[in-house]
Amino acid sequence: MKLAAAFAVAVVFMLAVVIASDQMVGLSPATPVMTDADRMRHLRLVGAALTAVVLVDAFFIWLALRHPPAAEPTLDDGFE
Amino acid sequence: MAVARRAALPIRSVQPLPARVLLASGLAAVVLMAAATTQEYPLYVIIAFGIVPWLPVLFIETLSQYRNFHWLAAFFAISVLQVGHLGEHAIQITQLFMNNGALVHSHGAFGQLDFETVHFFWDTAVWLGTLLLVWRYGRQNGWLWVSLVFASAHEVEHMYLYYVNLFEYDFYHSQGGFAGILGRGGMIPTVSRPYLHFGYNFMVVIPMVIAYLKQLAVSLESMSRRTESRIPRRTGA
Repeated sequence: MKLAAAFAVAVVFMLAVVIASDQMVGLSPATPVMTDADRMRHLRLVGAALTAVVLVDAFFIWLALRHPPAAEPTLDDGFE
Repeated sequence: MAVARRAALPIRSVQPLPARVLLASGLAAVVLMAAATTQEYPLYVIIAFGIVPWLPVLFIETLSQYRNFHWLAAFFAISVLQVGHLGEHAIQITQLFMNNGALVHSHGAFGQLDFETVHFFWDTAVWLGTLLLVWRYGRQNGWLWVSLVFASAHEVEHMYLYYVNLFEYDFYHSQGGFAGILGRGGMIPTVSRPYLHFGYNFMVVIPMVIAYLKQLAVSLESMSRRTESRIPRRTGA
């Protein structure tokens, strides 16, 4: 629990640094802004990438929950 | 006697590296970096000089963990590489701060590698490596799941960036494609890309390191219990 709390504090600190740096320093030259037409045009592309990642994740999660790997060898197996 | 000797081996091999070895590596790194700095070598040479003395230590530690715990060695190697990766992003953020946001002077220590192909393949390897670790340790280690969520989000971002970099060159370079999905100027604008990707990596690497340390403690404890149960007890008879 202490570890989770420490991590939460670190995340808040990181977000503060990231947002403050972006506001105060930013990027030069600034990145051009996508048009709304481009955003709509690429929705399907982002959807495809998201679907691919979710499917692969789901496969590995299924493996982890239903078919976890065998226990690692121990000294009883003659492994040293 | 034979049983006691067999049991003693792994305990000896998982003891931490001697302090004098760590001290010598650290000292060598400091001396090499200082020498490179006085010679005004580029930043990547200075950083490389700081890394090189640690390579034998990391190699020996990885080998030791492989001998004793198999998969944990992969966990260790991925964690170490990812800490280095996060360091590179931290250097970039520092450079941006020092150069008033000028991206052309702020590509990290190893800026020659700052292009989409490297980002894509590195982050895909991290994502797949995290999935393998989830498969092996996920049932007993919740921190890995935190890392996986952000590694997956990061992977979606880099899949998109790699695609537009390959197939829509003008869009990538001059119409906002470089920002990606969540970067400022991108599909759902938040903060500028270097800051965003520092955040992604922070959320992947820190939980992964915590997960590794917890797993190491579990493995050491388990090995200690196995070994204790093997040492013949003195009956005093």
